[in-house]
Amino acid sequence: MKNLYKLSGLFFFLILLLSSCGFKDIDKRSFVVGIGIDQLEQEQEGYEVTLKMAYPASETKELGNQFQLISAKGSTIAEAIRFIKAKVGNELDFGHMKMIIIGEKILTKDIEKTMDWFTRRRDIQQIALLSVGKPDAKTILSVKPKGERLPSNKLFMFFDETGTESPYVTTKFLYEFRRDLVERGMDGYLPIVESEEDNFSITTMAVIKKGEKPLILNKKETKVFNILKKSYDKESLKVNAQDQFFMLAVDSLNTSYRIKDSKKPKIKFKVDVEGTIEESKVKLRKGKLDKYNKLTEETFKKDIKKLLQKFQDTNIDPIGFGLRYRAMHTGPEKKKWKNWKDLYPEIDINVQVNAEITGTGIIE
Amino acid sequence: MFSFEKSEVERVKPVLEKQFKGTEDAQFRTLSLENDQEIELVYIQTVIDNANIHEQFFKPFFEINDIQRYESYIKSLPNFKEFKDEQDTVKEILHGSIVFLIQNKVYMVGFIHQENSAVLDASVETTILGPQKALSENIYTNLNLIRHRYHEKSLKVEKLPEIGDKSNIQVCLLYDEKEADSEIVDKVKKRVKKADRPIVQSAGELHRALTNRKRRLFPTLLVTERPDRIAYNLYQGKVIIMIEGIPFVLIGPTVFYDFMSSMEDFYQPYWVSKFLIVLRYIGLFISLFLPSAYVGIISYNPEVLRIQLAFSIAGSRMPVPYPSYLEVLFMLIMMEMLTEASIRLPKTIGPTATTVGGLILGQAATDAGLVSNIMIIIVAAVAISNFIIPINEMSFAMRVMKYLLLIITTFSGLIGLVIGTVGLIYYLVYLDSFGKPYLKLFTSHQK
Repeated sequence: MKNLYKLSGLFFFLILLLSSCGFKDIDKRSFVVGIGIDQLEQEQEGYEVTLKMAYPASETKELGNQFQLISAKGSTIAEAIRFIKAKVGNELDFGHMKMIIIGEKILTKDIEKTMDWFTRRRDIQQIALLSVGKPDAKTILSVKPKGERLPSNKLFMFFDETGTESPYVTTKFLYEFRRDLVERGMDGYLPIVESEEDNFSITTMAVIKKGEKPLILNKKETKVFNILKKSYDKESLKVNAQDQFFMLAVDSLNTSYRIKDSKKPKIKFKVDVEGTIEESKVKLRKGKLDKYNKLTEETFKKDIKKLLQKFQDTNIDPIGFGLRYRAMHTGPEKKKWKNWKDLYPEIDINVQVNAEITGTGIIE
Repeated sequence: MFSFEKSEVERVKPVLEKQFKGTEDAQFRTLSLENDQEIELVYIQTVIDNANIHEQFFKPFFEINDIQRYESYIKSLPNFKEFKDEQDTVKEILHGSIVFLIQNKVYMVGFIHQENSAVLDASVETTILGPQKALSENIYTNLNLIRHRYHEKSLKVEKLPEIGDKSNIQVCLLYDEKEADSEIVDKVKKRVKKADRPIVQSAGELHRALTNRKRRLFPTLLVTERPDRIAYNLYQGKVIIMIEGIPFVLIGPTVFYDFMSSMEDFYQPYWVSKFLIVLRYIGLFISLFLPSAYVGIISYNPEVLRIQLAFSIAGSRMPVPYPSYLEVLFMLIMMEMLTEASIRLPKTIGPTATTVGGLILGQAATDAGLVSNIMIIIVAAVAISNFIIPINEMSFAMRVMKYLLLIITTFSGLIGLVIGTVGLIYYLVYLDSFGKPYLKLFTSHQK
C-alpha cells in the first residue's frame, strides 16, 4: 500500500513534467491569422515579413475588424519573426494562421527556400492556405473587406469552400504545395489574389516549377485548369459558335486521362459534361439538342487542348502526367524519369469531350 | 435441556427485573384469576402494539378463566416463540415481544408495532411511466412489496445477524436461489458478519462497512429505493441487502453500467431508451471533462478550436483578471455550493437560495468581469449534465472526480487530461464489487 502511494506520487510528478507548450491563457496570446512574405527591394537576400494579428473584442456584438499589421525585415523569415516578437506584448500564436500570402516577386526567386520555414515549424498548420499576393503580400493583408466579422475571414471563405465556390479560385494547402515542390512529375500552382479597393479578386493563378519562371494563367485558362484538375462542376461554359450563343450550367463533370504506351505514346484526356442551358441569346429548340451537344464539345475541346499544349510548350506539368507515368511504369526510377522528360515535349495529347445537355431550361 | 435446579421463570425473572426495572416504558403486569392463579406479562410499551394489547391478551384471559386453556391460546398465536435462554428473551423484548410467565413456563409472543410502515413515494429515482411508490422504512412491508413483484418460489429471504453493537439493526438478505451465484451469497454473508460499526443507520453506511477498501470514491454497491429495480436485479441474480428502518436497499454485485441505467429504460420504446442511454453517457462525459477541457484548450492548445470560436472565447475572457483554472475553480465551487445549499435548505426557502445564487452566478459575475460568458455556459452544462446520471451516488462520485482531472489538466494541459482519463479507466477496471469486475459495460445474464 505504501508502495502504491509512492508510485502514484511519482506518477503525479511525471505528469508535472509533461507540461507541453506551457500555460498561457488564450487572452494573453496574439493570434496571427495571416502572414505575408515579400521581397526586399534593394537588397538581394532577405524578406519583409508582415504578420496580420487579430484582436478579439470583449463584446461579442461588436466583434469585428480589429487587426494590426506588423512588419519587419530580416535576412531570413525566422529572423524577421524575431524582430516582430520584440514589437508585440503578447505571445505570438501561429496555431490559427490559416493564410499564407507570398509576394509575387518572390515567385521568381527560389521558392523552395522560402517555404522551408513553414514546413519546419511545428506550430504552423499544414492545412494553411497558400496564395500569391499581387502586387505584394502586404497590400493584400491590409485589405479591409466590408462585413468581415473576423480579420482574414473573407479569404478563408474563398479558399476553404465553406463560403463561395467559384470556378476561378484554386485552393492550395501548405502540405500539398510542399509535396508539389519535392515531387518529380508534378508541378505546383498557386492562386493569385489581387486587391480591388476593399475587396479581393481571385481569378488567375500561377504554375510554379522549381527554379523556373512561373507561368501565369489568365482567367479562362484558370477556369479550364480547375475543370481538368479537380473536375470542378460548379461551372458554366460559354458556347459561341455557328450563330449560337448559350451558357451551359454544368450539373456533373468528370475528367479522366490515360497515358497510352504504344509505339507512339499519347495522352488520352476524356471529359464528360452534363448540364442544362442557363442563358441564351438566340432561340433554342429542344429537338436540336444533339447539335448543341456537338457545339459544346467542339468549343470545350479547343479550350482544353490549347491549355494542355501551353503546358507542354513550356515544359510544365501541373496536372501530374509525369507522376502518372512514373506510377504506371516499372524499371529504375532514374531511367523512367529521363524517359518521361524526353517524352513529354513531344507526346500527343488527345482530348475527347462528351457533352450531354439534358434540357434547354424552358418548358416548350 | 434445561437445568433442573431452576425453572425457566426463576432463571428469566431476575434478569428481566435487573435489565428493565428502571425503565419507564417497561411494563411488568400481573393478571390473576379468582382462584389466585396468576400470570405475569413483561413488555416494553413503546415497541408493541399498545392499542390492541387489551383486546388480544387481557380480555381473553378473563374470558377463558383458566390458566391451562389460556396457555394453549397463547401457543396458538401466529407470532408465538418458545423460550431459548435469558439473553434471547431480553432481545425479544427489545424487538417488540411480550413475555408471558405462566406458572413455570416462559412464552413469548411477537406483538411488534412500528410507526414507519407507510410506503413512500419514489423521490430519489423518479420515473415518468414506472411504478410511483418506493419502499417503506419497515423491513416487513418492504418484503411484502418485493414479494408482490417477484412471485417465485426460489426467492430466499435470510435473516442475518444484527448489525451494530448499539443499534442492533436487523438485516435481511434477499436473493433468487436459482439465479444468484452461491459463492457471492456466501461472500456477502461473510462481509455482513464482519462489518463492525456501533451504529448503522443508512444504506450508504452499511455499504461503507461492507467494502474492504476504506477510502472509496466510486460506489460498488447500488443503493436503490425502487421495488421494480429490486425485482429486476433479483432476476439478474444479484443479492439484495435489506436494512430495518431504511427505505433503501443495497444491491450487489454491480457493474458500472448499473449506475448509468434507469428503470425508465425498460418502460420506454427501444429507440427512445437507447437515446436516453446515449444522452446519459454524453452527460457523464460533459460533466467529467468539460471544465478540464476548457482549461486545457484555453491555456495550452487554443488551436484545437476553430478560429471563430477561439476569438469569441478570447474576447469574453478579456476582462477576466485570473488565469483560466482559477476562473473555472471559482465558478465550479460556487455551483457546488448552490447545489449543496439547495439540498440542505428547508424546502420552503430552497427556491429563494437557488434564484439568488443563480442570478449572482449567471449575470453579476460576468458583469463584474470575474468570469467569462463562456464559463457560465460551461458551468451550467456541467451542473445540469451531472444530474442526468440516474444513481445519486455515482453522480456525487463524478462531481468529485472532475476536480482531479481539472488539477492534472491545469498542470499539464490536454495531455494531462488524456493521461488522467486513462488513469481513471485504470482505476475503474481495478475496482471490484463482491469479487466481480466493475467496469464491465454490460452485465451478462449468467445462468
